[in-house]
Amino acid sequence: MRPNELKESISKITIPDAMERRLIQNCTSQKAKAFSFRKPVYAAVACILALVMLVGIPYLARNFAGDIELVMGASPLVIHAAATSEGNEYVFEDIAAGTEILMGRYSPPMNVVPGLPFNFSYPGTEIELTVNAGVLILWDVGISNVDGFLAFDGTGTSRLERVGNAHTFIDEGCIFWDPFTEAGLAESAVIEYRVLDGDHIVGYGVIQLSSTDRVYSAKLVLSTGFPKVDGKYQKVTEESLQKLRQEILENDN
Amino acid sequence: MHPGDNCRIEETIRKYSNMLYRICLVYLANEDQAEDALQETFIRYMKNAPKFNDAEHEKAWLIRVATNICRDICRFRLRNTELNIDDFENYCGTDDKSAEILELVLNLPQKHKEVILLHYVEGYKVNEISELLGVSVSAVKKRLQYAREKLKLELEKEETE
Repeated sequence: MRPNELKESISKITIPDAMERRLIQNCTSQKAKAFSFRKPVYAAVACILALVMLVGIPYLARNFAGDIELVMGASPLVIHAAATSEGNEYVFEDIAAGTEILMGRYSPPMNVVPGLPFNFSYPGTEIELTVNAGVLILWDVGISNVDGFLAFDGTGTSRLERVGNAHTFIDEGCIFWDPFTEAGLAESAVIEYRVLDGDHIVGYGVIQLSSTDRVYSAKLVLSTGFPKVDGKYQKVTEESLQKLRQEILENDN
Repeated sequence: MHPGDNCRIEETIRKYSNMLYRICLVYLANEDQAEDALQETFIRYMKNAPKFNDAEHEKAWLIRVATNICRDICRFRLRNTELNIDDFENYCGTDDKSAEILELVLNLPQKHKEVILLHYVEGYKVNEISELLGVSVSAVKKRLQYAREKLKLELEKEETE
């Protein structure tokens, strides 16, 4: 095949008159013909956008909009605090939201326990604890239920671990709060807990600790659950919890 | 481009439509898509054309835009919608030889089709094609060589059959 043959063959391609007229008409009237090659792409994009709007907007509205109120319910978390001290035996009482429990006098040199004890129980979840003053302590001393009361029974290994200002229990556990800080005894503190079911926060609460002349009391100022809505977990953000905490503490004071 | 420039766009279309249609049709092997590409080329010309130094500059700009659009179309198209041999009669009439050559060219890979077209039909030199397509001179030479050999081979094969 000679180059001329090639040129001759391809040069026979000329634009059909009708097509050229269409082209001129479309371009001069600025009315572009819809491009067929893009139709499938546009259609796909439109479908995706429609799907996102259909599914995404209600989802976003429910989960991310700042003004959406959280639905709060009863918290199945059970919290016990040592209400009285009788020698080596500490008896726990169930503390209910809004009630204050006198936990007794605490003095590090004299006490036989490393801090003020709290017992948390919510099987099937993780319970995250944080405290804003003092230290959280794990103390393996063994607890049993005697005559309806939870009490230390001395069966543990007595291993003591200072875990700092945060700790997570799985299902349940007992934590001691030591008010002792570098600056002396903390007169007040706030213990917060978050109950997690997987990645979802399903419960939240605030325990307000206060003291008068080293006699400490604990008040459960907030204990709430976040039940599923329409079978789905609620989107509980850290911001919404902090807002809740602030409101509760301000009202309590 | 202002509405008053309608005459100018019409003139440009008449001047380059054959050349660009050839490029688009050979590249895409589909009349509808070639028309789409052509229209998109002229729309971009109306909207984005720079100030051209001369007619050659303008022609090269249009070729570059058209080939880029054809590449986009190839990338987007969901199925193979190439011409069949009967469609070539629209262009080649009863000239079987020309139809045969055209079919062979259209069946070449895209990158080989474009260099064949620009070199043998539009008369561009290797270095000019290199600039137009944004590929190296040696790549253009290799593509031309491959395309020539492939066409020769296919043509010989058909002749012996």
